[in-house]
Amino acid sequence: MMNIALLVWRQKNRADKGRFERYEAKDISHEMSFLEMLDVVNEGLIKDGKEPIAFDHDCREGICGMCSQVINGTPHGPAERTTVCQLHMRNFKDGDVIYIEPWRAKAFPVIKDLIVDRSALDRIIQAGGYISVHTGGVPDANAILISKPDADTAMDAAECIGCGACVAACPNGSAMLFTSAKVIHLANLPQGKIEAVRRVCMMTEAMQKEGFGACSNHYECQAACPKGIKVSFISALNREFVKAQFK
Amino acid sequence: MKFINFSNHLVGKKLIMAFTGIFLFFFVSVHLIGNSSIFFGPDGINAYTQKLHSMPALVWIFRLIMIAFFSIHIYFGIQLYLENKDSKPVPYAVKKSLRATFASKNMIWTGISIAVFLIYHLLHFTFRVISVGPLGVDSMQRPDVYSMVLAGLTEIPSLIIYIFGLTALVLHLSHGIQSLFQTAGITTENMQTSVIKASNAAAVIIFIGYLAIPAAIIAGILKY
Amino acid sequence: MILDGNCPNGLLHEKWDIRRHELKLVSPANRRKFKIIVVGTGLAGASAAATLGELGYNVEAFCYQDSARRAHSIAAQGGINAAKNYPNDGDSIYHLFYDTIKGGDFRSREANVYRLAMISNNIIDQCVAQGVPFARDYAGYLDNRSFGGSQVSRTFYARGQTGQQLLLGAYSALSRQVKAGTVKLYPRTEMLDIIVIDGEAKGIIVRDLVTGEIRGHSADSVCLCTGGYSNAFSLSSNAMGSNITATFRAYKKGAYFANPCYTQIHPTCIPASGDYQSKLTLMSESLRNDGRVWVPKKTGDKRPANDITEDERDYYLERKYPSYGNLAPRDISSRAAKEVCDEGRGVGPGGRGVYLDFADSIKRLGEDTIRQRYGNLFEMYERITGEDAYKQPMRIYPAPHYTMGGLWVDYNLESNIKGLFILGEANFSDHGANRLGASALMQGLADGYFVIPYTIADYLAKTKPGKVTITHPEFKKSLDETSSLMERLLSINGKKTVNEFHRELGKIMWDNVGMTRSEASLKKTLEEIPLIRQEFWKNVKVSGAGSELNQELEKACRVADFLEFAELMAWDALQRDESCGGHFRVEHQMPDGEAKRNDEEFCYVAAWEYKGIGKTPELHKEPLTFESIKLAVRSYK
Repeated sequence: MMNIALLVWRQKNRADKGRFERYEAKDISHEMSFLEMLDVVNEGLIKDGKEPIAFDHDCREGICGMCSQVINGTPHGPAERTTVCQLHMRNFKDGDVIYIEPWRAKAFPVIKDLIVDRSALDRIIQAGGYISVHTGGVPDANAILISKPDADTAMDAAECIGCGACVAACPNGSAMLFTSAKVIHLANLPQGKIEAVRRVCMMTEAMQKEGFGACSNHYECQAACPKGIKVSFISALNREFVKAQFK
Repeated sequence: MKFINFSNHLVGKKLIMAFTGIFLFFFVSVHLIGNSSIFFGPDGINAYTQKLHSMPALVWIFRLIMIAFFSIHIYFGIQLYLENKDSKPVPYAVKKSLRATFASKNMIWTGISIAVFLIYHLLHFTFRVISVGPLGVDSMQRPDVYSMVLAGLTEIPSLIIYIFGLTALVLHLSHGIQSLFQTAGITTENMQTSVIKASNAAAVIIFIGYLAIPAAIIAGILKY
Repeated sequence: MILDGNCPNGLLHEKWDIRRHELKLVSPANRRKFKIIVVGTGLAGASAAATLGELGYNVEAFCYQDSARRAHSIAAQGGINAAKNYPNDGDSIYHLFYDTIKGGDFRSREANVYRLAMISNNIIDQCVAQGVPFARDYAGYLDNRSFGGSQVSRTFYARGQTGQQLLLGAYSALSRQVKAGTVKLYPRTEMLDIIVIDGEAKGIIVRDLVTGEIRGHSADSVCLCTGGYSNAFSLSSNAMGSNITATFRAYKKGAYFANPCYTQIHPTCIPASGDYQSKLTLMSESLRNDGRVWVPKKTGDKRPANDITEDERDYYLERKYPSYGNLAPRDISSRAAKEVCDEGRGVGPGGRGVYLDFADSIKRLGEDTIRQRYGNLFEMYERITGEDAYKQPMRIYPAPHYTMGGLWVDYNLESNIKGLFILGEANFSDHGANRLGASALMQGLADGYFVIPYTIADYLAKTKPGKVTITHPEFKKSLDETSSLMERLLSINGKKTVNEFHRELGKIMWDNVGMTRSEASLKKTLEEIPLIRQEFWKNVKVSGAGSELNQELEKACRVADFLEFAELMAWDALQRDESCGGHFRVEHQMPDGEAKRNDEEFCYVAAWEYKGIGKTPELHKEPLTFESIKLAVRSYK
């Protein structure tokens, strides 16, 4: 059991200025997840007649990409390749002071407390993050052969859960890692190559329009990514982009 | 391009930075090789200078290209810096750097430092309006660059400015070189560590190479 | 009343063709005049919204998450079944059909299941064309693995993230339609009521979860794709937000709820570690391909797993079910785990756990192969428990996971309310009393991509577009009711939090309506739930206001519905006086403890009609007739 002090960003709504508030989390078990610890704090706040801390979460098994907190200056907290919901309190010790902040980026306005609006990522996908196939009328699945290395690379890229930690970690608030993961997932597949030129241009342009910054190759994104999406995908996106200029 | 306005596109801009960066790096390297002729004494560097002066058209074409590249690199560099800053309007109260380095985070400042140093350097050795007097001629009637450099680099203030400029350069290059490989889409996953190492090594070689000249002067290896 | 499933006549394998021929079409020029509401953006919802949008209908899609991509289908790990027979190991559409219907303990509709098996092949083709990165072999062909309840390898998979990859495929198709302007997305929006006018579904009431605004959306038809109700157990593998509200409110407006007692308990979840536990994490069942399940032979054996020698271990699944072994179906594996733990042979904290051991597979295949197959699952296990499963066996325990029951639908996926279609886990149709692994993804996508586009057209072709607008008095009435419900919840200002009530309900449900049920436990539940419900409405504390983002209010609405719905689960479990699939009544078991069905009396779908809060709902039966197969004892020995 341990006692921990939390400094949590509280912001009533988009217009509110926001501030940090301090809470004491008492008798926290090492086996708890970070969000379960916040649950306990919130139960206490409710009983004290205060407003609980609002935070995004859903599947709590590290796959839906909903949870989004910067913990002591690191998106998703100190454990590598781990979402907040999968972060367990054994990563902390008694007496720790923990800062909890929302994702910060121009493209991610704060809605309330730790909840931000990430719809900009959806709009990047809408700009071209798909293969324009109709339902039905497709060939047999085994008619499209894909070499194992290509399939594996596509899968590596497709693991992105769209949580936005890359944007949160990036000093430029850039969504290049997110965008590149989708571009490279599809560009590695024969059925996705057909639209590759259009896709890379449309998606990066959409990213710019949403107010995300450019990539300065700090590689903070890869370090923060809970799924280990690699910055080599950004290089590959750039390659696709260069290729697109000659087509 | 069918879909986009290249110079207003955030990847396009980065590619322009990378492309101009390659030439600037190339220039820095050639300049170092040229300067290293000083180690052959007056016969080295003075002959080199005379050779260059005998082809004024070529030198001016080269200078204009360099001015253009510098301007483009600086223009887009500042633009990107401002845009990127705008994309992250609210800073974190606590922020840990996971992979970002001092060099990567301060490209704008090392870049500006290099630009300022460059102006000083041009005023110092090219236009000679600071400290060193008019360029003399050596015994063989060649421009006596050798003596000028020796005079210029033995003064403590200018020596400090040179070390400052070179420090900015080494930081800028160490991130810039590997960054251009990444931006141009050359780096693959397997190459990444090597590219970063090679980038740092190249930057350090340039740094040591340039620093070797004042060091040799102070150590008395190069003398009148 | 006797319900009719509206199945087409004809031979089993011709039924779907016959039906498609019977169904009316809507011409392309007319489609944009029809507005369709799709609630939920999981596999069923996203695929339906994308496909309907692509056909030219005017679609509005809603989800409570911040993005359509986050629906809980994303959490499915293992894979998706299809009768492709690529490995040439004897599979066929008929085999998949038979396995599924047998797996469901002969409590599903034959025609539906056969259609599902047929469509399964189209789904794989579709997903590959969308760019879903299924596992491949070195020649570039699709790879398959085997899964519980089947003797062939027919499961397609994408590492341990098949659900995520399939959902991202559907989400990308959906995104394409959003760009094309045929689908309008409403994320962070929760459906709170359905508008039924003259027996037809014509709109919904939603709450904007950011602004708190409650508003109506009218449409020509409504599709509910809102998933299952495992969270009635409070602790389950479902997402924190997964809820019964959408389907339950439809039930309260007259839609029949079918087989609510059919709930599936997944055998391979990570055991709970304490009272604060907020959810249970599932480990893919595919782990059972290479893991061996065991407990110590001795009761109360607290030694570390690796100190217990081979002859002191009881590989109880292999012992009891030699032909299926560790791949025995989910309900059987789950119950077997509960049994050994009840005997005091459970492992880990609280003795609620069994070992899943990979030592033999690691010896046989090497750690690298195991890492390649299950690397992310092992990582996840270590993150949660702090234990390294390469070195010591995993601990697993069953957890509520999937609900076979759902709103009653006919063969066309249309409920008894005209124009209200129910897709995916939210309906009851294809899995009978128990669902086999890798079948949920198949069903969600089958409904969304390949069934609803045909069947909804038939309904729309018979109606006029834009018959109802939000000015209709029903909208006003429902808006007022919904608003006053919110106000009521906010005004109670009691002493207990919503979570406390949810946990209390969950415990009762898990203990009494969980893996095993008895007449006594069910009757007790029916007495206890109304008491909790009463206390809830007197003593719950919901902080904040209605006109803002208020997660407590969201939760309170959902738990309030669970508190009513849980009673329906118990009613259904009580009336179904037999054991079948996921529904195990202790009174009805074989001498060896297997579920004992009663086909004479209970070979029907139990569809319940709402009669008021706390009142006994009315039971309608849809008899299940089997034309092509014979009912058999579901044996996996």
